[in-house]
Amino acid sequence: MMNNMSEKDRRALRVGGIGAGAILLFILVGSPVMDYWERLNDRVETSQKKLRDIESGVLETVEANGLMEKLRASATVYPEPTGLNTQTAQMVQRVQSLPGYGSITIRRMEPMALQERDEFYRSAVSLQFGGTLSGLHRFLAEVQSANPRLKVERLDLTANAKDSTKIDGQMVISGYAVVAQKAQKAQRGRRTSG
Amino acid sequence: MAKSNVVLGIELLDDEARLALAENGENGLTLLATQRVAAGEDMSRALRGLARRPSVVVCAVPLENGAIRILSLPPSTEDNLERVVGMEAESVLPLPTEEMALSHQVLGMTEQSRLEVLLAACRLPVVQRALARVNCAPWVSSSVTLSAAALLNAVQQVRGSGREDVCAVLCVEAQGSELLVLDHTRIVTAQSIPIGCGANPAAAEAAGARPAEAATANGPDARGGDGAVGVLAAAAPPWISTLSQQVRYALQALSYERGAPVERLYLCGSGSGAPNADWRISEQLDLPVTLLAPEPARGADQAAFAVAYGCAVQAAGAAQLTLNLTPARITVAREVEQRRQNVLSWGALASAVVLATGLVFGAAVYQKQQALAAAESRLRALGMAAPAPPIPAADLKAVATAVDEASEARVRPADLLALLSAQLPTGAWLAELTYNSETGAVVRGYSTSSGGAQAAQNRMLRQQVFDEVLLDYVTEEQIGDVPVWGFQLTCRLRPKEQPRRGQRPAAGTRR
Repeated sequence: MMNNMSEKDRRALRVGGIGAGAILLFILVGSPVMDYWERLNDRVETSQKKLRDIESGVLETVEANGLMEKLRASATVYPEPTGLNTQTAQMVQRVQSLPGYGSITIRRMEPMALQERDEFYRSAVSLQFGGTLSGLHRFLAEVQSANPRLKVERLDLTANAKDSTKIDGQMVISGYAVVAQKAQKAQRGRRTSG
Repeated sequence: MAKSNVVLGIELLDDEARLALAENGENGLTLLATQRVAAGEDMSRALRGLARRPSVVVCAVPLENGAIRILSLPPSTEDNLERVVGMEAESVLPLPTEEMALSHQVLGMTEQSRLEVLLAACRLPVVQRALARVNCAPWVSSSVTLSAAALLNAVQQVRGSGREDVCAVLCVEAQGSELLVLDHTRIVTAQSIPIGCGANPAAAEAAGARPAEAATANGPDARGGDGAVGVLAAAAPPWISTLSQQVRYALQALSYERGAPVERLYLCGSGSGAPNADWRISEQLDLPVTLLAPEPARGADQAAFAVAYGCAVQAAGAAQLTLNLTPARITVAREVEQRRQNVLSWGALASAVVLATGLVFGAAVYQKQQALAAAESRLRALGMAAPAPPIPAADLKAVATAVDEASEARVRPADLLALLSAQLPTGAWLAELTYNSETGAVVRGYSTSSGGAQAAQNRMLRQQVFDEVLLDYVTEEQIGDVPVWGFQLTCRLRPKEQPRRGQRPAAGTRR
């Protein structure tokens, strides 16, 4: 049959045959091989991504632990918001447990309402006191170096009219608390709105 | 720029083959190299050892194996001409055409409106042997011509076409000679003369010189003449005399027949290398003789390569007479074989490419598998999922920064008390203090001197703890009988500016 065909027809048939063979080869061999290659690449990338995630997770955890330690030095950290119920009471207890607490005479101690800020909560206590200036200085120095941190927001003092070595006054001491869930949500909300 | 075309001409003789490698470039045909290959040597190795690989090869077989005839035919069409030439060849050639390889070339029309055709014929076994020898390398597909046609092409290439009307070319080889007579650019006659110069023309020369020396010893008369010509004639070896005589007869016969004398003889072949061969033949024939050497500057033996050079001229497509005695079926078989070789070569190349690609791909797959195995083994060794901190580090950082900013005070009250204790001048005392961690402090006090308040302000300013220290008032009062000066200092802290990202706090700002 081939002998009856012209050279042009034979060439066309040959080219067609080669093309068909190439297509068949691609379907039977090329495509499965490429699929296998892609699957292999995906598996390698997935495994390597898992490794990278573990590595970055470990690093982030280490960093987060460091930051948490730093935060604990500044504020009381509660895992749940229910812990805030005890915040003011704990703060009063902390103030009372300061060694310099006895160096001044506390006439009245009044806890104040818990204030909520974006990232943290602020609890405060108002003190009316009397005593000497040096006793006050000692108490204030211990407040300043308390851990978690305490801050004297306001201080009013006057010299005692009867005894010039004595003073009377009033101060507001505040402490800070952080709820882990809130911190996470606040940052997420900020990122979303940003 | 014209494409460079390297060609090879080969003259096949009984005892050796002569090769002429030439290049047809911008400056015409240039002879690149000549080489002799002895009969016992490997032709394939010689071809592979050439400086450049030729694209076209033409080889010439001696005229003694064939014949050249000029046919006068009635005008005919191109298609019919081959058949007419074949029939005519039966009558002019001594052998049946089945045993011969034929080739023809139309020379032109005569005045009698006859078609003049040059017919060349050669014994088929000779052509086949020649092809078998020359086509030893797969990339060579040679065509075969007659040495007489190659000589014509060499003469036309070397001397040009218009120097003499009628000239002759004498190619002298060891076993025989060929005489070719040309009228302008046409072959008048080509004949083989069975007289050669012998295997070693120099030795024959020496043998011919001995009687000459004897003649010299007997005096000038015995040499048959005076001077150099006489010496040359006397010293001529026997083959020169015999060959010259044959050539003289042939040329005289032709001269009588055509009425045009031969004006010059071109001498070539290995016999032309004999000392003074051209002078001696010239003297014997009484004709000017010129050596037909393609590149005279290359050496005295270049005339031996005239036929090979003529073949190269034909291979380069610059020949006036192009004859191809290769039978069509051999050419076809050769082309089929070359095509098969090509298919094989391309197939081998494609297979090699496929194999190499497969190997590279296999190596890449192996590498990926190794990487996967390493990663999975590390994962297995770690045996855990990616740990996540309860609060992301970025969130913690933001919260810690916010708490720090809120809990920090630029001037802390204990420090303020210490500062006042240290900086209030002697005779001044504190009566009242109002402190705010954000805005600063208001200090009221008394001094026993009128300048105490001013001194206290100056000292506080010098400490640069507060941004501003203002003396609000100084009033003179009496405590008992003692005059004192009451004063009030306002120590201000400017509201904290929110620093832009990356900006440092202003210089001089102190906490």
